[in-house]
Amino acid sequence: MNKTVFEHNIAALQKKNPVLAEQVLSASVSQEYQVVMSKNGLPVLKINRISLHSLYDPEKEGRSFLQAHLAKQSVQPGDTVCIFGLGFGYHVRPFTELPNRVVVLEPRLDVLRCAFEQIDMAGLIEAITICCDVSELQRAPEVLFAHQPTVKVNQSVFKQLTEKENCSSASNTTSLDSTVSKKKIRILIVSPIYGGSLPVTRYCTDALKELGHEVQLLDASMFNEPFQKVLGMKIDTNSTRVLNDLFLHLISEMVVGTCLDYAPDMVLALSQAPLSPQALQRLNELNITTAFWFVEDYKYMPYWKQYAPLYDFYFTIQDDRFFDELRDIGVQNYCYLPMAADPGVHNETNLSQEDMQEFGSDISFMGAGYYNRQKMFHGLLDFDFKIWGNEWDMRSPVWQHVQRSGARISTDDTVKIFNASKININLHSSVSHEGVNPQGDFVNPRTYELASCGAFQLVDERSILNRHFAVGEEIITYKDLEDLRAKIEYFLTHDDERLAIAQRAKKRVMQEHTYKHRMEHMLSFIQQRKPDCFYQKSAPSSPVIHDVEAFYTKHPETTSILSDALRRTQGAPNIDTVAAAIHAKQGPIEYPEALFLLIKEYEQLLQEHR
Amino acid sequence: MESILVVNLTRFGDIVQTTPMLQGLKSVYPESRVSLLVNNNCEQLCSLLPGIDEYYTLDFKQICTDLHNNPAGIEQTYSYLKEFFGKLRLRNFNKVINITPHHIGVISAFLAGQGNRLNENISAWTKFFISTTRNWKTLPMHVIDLYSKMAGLDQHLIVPKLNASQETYQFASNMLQHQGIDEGTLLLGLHTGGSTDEKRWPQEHFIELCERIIKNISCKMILYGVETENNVSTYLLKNYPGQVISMLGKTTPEELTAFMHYTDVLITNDSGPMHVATACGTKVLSLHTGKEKCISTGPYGEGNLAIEPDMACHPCEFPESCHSLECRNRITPDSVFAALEILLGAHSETHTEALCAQKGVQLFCSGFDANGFMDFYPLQKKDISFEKLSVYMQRVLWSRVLAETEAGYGVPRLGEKAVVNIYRYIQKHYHTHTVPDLLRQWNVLLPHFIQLKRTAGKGGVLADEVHSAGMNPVPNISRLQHLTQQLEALDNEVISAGEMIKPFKNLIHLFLYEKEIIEGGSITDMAVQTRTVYEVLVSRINELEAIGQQLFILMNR
Repeated sequence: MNKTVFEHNIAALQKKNPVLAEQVLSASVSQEYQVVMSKNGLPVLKINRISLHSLYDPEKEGRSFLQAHLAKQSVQPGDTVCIFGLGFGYHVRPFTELPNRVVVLEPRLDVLRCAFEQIDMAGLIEAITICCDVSELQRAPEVLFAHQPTVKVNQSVFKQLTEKENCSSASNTTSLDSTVSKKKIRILIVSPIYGGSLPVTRYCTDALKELGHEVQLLDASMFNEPFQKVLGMKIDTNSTRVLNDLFLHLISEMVVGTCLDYAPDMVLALSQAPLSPQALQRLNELNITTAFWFVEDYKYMPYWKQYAPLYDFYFTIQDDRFFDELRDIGVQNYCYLPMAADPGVHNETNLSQEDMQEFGSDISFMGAGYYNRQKMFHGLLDFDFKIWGNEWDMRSPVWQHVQRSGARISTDDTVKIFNASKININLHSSVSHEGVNPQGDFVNPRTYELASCGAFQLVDERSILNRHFAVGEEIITYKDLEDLRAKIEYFLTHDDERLAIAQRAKKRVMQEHTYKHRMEHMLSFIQQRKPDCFYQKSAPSSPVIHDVEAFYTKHPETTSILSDALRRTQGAPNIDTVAAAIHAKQGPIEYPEALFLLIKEYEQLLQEHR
Repeated sequence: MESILVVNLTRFGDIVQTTPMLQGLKSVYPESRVSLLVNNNCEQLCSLLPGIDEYYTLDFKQICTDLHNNPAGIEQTYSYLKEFFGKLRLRNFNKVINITPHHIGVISAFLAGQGNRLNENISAWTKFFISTTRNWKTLPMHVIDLYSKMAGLDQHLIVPKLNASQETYQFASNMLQHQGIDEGTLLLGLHTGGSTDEKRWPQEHFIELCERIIKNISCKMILYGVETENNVSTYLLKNYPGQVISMLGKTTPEELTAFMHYTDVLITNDSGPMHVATACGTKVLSLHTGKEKCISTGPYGEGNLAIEPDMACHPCEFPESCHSLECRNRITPDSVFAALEILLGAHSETHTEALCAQKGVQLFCSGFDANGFMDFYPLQKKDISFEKLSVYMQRVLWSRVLAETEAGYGVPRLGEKAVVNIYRYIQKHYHTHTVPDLLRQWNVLLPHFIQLKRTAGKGGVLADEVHSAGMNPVPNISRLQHLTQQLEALDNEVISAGEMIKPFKNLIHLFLYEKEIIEGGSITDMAVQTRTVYEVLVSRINELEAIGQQLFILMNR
């Protein structure tokens, strides 16, 4: 120990924090610690073989630490910068050049002691505030930088710190530590077998990947064909239900099996994505967070009541009264998450003349022939009006305007239709209204998709539309057929105004309404509610031999080993205890002992991967 | 008839690298029955391997699942392993060769074989392999050469090989023809994946490289790998349809082998498909970042090119704690493109010189050194570093000292000519005007060797004292404890000495591993084994000194 350096450091700390200085003085350095020299001759601390700094050039690594973190997270003047981990301070020194208050939380007193013994830190001590306990932080820091080697050796303390920060910044998730909120999360997405939300799973998959997460899509739509055949069979209702359940269990087992192999942090399912209660229970046992994005109208799809309580997190496109109902059935972690657009798919496209010929018209509608649409569009048949999509009534006069004989339209062609039409009609579906649903309380994906394409739309009034777009500036609504006709006539003759509104809507989507935004919000919400769910899953404990007697009855050759192991533990012995008993005995390793040692090796391999 | 079991519980690429050894076994023991034990996730590969008569698969996935999730995991795993190895033991293998560099392999080999002691049948080369893989950076030879040594084979120049069926070759050929690729088309393969981040050259670099290739070289490109590596593929397929074929996630190992057979050059990270390419005779341009270095796992065979970042910290000892992974950016698309042109013979000598002089990267060519070891020598002559010199010295050292301790095993000791061979090889591929500096560095090590031998000598004496104390009918326990503590303190001295002889630190790694696996018996038995380990350390240092002395005499001429 370099006594002069140590005393010099302690004197500096006494001036700033005499209590801490006393604690450091009375601390002793753990035997697990090893001070080694880096290649360029600077001391570096190793704790249990984890090196706290670069063993080549710790100062250079320190400078890179600052640059790397500043590239990820901006620091505003006046922000307090908190660094988790002092180590030997190489990564902290560069921060003292910032015009910000720097607080360093070093959870280990003996690391401080060791650092003070090795390096002259008096200048650094003067420039920063050092604390050793999370509770000493007066408030959550604006900016938190984690020194990863310190995190590795102090995971539980770091968890406490991030919890403290999440609680204080529930309304502002962007201030979460980038190393935490941007942790690469492994997600399994389960698509529905069929339906309108099927493409949404793909958009979510792409968005999550773009956010840097590892995503696997389990595409249940591969079962659509047999599933539809079953639905179309003329058999009694009971048999149909049994067959439906079999599908549910088949796909649920695929999800569980995939999880065992892929070990995701989270499973995200979307509307009508089939997961049985048993499968959800299994995922819960595997410590996998489950989330469901219910992208349907809860009033018409009552099945949510059965499943919502089984998920850890429930995301909805409606709030208000739906939230009341969710609370009533005991759902706690619910969150409003509106639909969105994927700019990679829904974008402005230059169309060929042929495409313009096929897809272009003054007004168009793209979607299925729901009752309210069939009714309302009767009143638009005098316009140059093209209707695209399926389930339209062939006997209705509207049918004359339906294109491609009512075939389903691909996403690529849908984007062409949006781009080619002067005015896109957007009418939210209803099976009980003659036209606009006056109680409509969610915004359909088409609203965002049209806007993302830079396409002009007239959309029916929705109670919450103004939360998402400035009505009148970014988007134009209609309340009934008469209003719609008047606005069509006006905007068909005001090209510039139409285009300007569409561009403003597009800008708004890019800023706020992409699937990337939604996925970011979803993960932030989950992290706020359950801060450790992606950070450090509680590792499943090592398996134990629950019934030792049954074990050696079945395998008599293990009797003496297990008896030795039992003497070494109070409860059921785990593989470590058995291995310790084997190593403690004299004589060569015998065959059954080798079998246990092999299990111990596999267990160790698994621990390293956990 | 000899019955041989090879235990290889590793991954895809490692198993491909076993093929020279498997071929060697079959050629040395043509009447033998050669069996292979692998994890079941590599089962598909087994039918492609030459030289094996049968294979067994251990259900690795089930073991992990049971231990990870099953409350009765230990019971189930024990029953499974007992039954599995019980059946295997009934095969009465005469010889079990473990080339799995961790204890799962060692224990599995014991359980499958006929031995009575866990560690008694670990070959000296296997001990060396296990001890150096714990300190990967220090491995002085290619693992394929090491595998052969571990199997007791004195073979050189046998390259990896995989055999696909005629139908599969035909399928690949038809498919390529369907894509407009015939025999006259230059087909360049690309594999952007790798098992860890630090091994993967950034995707944007791959994209930039491919764009340059497509614009400047008349060729078609084929992408290999798994589906998750699709960034490059998506971009290229969108922007260069017709010129790029993606086989991502579409090939079985056999199909990969067949497609690789028709691929002229594979550009790849250090990965499984790289080894498949070498096994198909496809030329390889490989990139080695992070902890990977071509000298240990590069593309085996002659005439391949390997690029490494020219950084003091490469190969990395601590990839998990490196925040920048800067080594991946040191290798630029420009340098890889230039290397590709060299490999295709489309580069003039001046350009080659310019590339070799480029800062930031090192370009190596693969070939066999004068003693038959796979080597990666600089494409243009350059100064030889002491580290590189130590690699050549170690190949001779270990080929001698491990052969010596391997009584009755097949690899003969490398003779005196081996050092002369090194000297000539160095003269061929390196400038030697730095010899005085190399000699100075060697001389710095000599006192540390002496010190180390003294420490080891003390260890031998202490082991003898333990032996004497243990022979006493009423052993003095406190005396034994005191001696054991002294031995532990000595080992710390040995570890510290290892820091002073860094280029030859493998001596210490192997010494420590040999001490670690001394198996319990009586205290006297263990004392005898301990004494041997100290003695062997001394003899190895002596051998190293002799090699150094002979080499520097030659170099100083």
